[in-house]
Amino acid sequence: MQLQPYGVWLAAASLIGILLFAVQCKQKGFKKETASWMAVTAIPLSVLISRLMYCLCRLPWFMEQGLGWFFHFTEGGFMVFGAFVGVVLAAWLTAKVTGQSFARILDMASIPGLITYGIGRIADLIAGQGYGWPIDDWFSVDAFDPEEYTGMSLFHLEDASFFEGLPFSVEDAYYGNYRWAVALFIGVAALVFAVVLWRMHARRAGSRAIMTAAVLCALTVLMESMRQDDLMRWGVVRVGQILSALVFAALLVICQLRMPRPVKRSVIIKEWISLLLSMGLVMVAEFMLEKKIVFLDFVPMDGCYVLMIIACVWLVLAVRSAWKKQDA
Amino acid sequence: MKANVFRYVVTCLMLVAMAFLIASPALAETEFTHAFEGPDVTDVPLAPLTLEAADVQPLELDQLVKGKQLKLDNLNADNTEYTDSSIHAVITHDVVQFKDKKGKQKINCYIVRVTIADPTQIRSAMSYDDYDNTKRVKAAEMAKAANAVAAVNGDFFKYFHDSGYIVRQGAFYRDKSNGQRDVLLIDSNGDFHVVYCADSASIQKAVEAFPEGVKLINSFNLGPVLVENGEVKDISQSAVALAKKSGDQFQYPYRMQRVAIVQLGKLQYAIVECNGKADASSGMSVQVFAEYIKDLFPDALVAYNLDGGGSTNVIFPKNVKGKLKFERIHKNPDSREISDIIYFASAEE
Repeated sequence: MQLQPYGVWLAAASLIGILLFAVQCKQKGFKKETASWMAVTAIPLSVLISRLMYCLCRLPWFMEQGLGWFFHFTEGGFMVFGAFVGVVLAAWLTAKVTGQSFARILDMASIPGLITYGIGRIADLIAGQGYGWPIDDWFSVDAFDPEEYTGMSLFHLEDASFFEGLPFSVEDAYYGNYRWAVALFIGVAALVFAVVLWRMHARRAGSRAIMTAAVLCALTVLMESMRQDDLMRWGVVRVGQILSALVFAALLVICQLRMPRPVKRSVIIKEWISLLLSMGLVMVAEFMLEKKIVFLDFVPMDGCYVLMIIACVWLVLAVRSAWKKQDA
Repeated sequence: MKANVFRYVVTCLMLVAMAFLIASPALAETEFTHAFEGPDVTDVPLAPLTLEAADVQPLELDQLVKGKQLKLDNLNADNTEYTDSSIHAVITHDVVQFKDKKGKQKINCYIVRVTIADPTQIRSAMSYDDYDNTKRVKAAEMAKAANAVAAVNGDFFKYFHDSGYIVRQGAFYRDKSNGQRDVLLIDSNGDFHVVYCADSASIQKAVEAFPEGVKLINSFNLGPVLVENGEVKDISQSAVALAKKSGDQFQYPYRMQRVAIVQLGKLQYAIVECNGKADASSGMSVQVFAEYIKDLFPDALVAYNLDGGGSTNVIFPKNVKGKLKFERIHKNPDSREISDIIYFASAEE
């Protein structure tokens, strides 16, 4: 058995998350045992549930491998969504054991969780995951005639060496070319949002957790769209994006249930329409990226990604509208 | 207090376990989507062909002895199936879609499944039937001369005379094996044996392990072994990759034309060819090719990589206006003349 660089990085990210959580608990006057209970439950639950979700999402394949494969952790196969579920479950268990508010503990776990996600996401690059398109292809470096660009970027570069290497790209050890470091972009974005959410003022218990979940899902949608390496699909659909859509819907329901009564039906309908439209825009952007919308074929891929980023921001805003009302 | 410390200690232990156990967030694997065309095809896995038991006269071992004359009537209308009492061969066209590390691809692949009645029907031929003559010829010409029902390029063993363990049609030519190649041995039962990182001693040991009375008929020195007993091999650990001396190791990760010969069962074989371009802009890496073969034939006994790129040639007879012609089943734009073929012959008089 040997140390796995990815595992080491992930363990370090988790340790940072635990320490941040412990510091926050102390500052906010939580019971002394809260942090230790959260730590001791969150780690195994996150690992096991992320493994379980991976197996469930690929059930026929998993059954072919045999149940014993579940424990072959060194072979890889984890879903980050399972880790989110694990943390939520750990917060619930901690609340039960320590006799404190579940929503407040979840709020407390939000920022450390987002930071752990951000740092952990960067580790994907160590495992040869989280790559985007090759830089050369993106900028049509090999096209001698600028008109013959690959259709990826609007910008044609004859020399893209500026973008070769961190923080823009990582070398694909297999082919020796440089590919966009998507995992790094998403990881950094998560860290930036952690700061934003940390400074955000939330009145009600659970509000910070709801917004953190929305940001995590939006980042997942964007990342799944940008990465070009191995990712889980159901047919042509990316599993992470489907799960994110379900979480967004659940978050909206939670926010609407938490709104002070009476709530106008038109408000609820308007919020659902906004969420569904933003999801529709994600789908359109995704189809445009796959060049499946013939009449929009002319849009370069950087244009498609701008549209995807707008759609992801809209997803968060769609939930935020209801979130604000429930937090008022 | 003690319980608190205990929980933190357990947490630390779990973090250490994470560092040892979690190697990657996802499995590195390639999924294939197939679109098959051809007779006797449903979906993956492809089944080995059947052949009704028939008494056939074995062909003589001598390389100058070729297969029996093919008959036009035994070819189907699409030129995709040849059947007689001694051989059954079928071409399947697969438009395969997959994603490798460079992105998505959609390429043409051809699979020729062959079942023979007698092991002497799997044979090899060399250009001008002469080991010392290094002139190359078109694979189709060699296939025509040999009356091949199906033929595939071999390992280009006449290109250099300085390496490899060479036995063809039972005749020994040279032993200059150096441990830098995986070698394929085909015995007199028509069974495949592989020797990894083959040198003289390991090949000798493998031959001595043959069942009593079984002889070595052909050996090939290219590789690497792609699949053995249904298990995809890690190409980064293959003989050439480990030796780090041959230029081939640099070509393994490239997208290129690939071709392999596969033993599926007793006297059941397949030739698998994937198209591509020698400039590495399309095709499969050797690892992806191995996974593709495993996807087609999960129970393959042995799949052995042959000389790909411009050497890739798979030949099948064709009825052209009532005349039998031997042509590549797919035009390889980078095709070159070669030095040897492996072929399947008819033994029906």
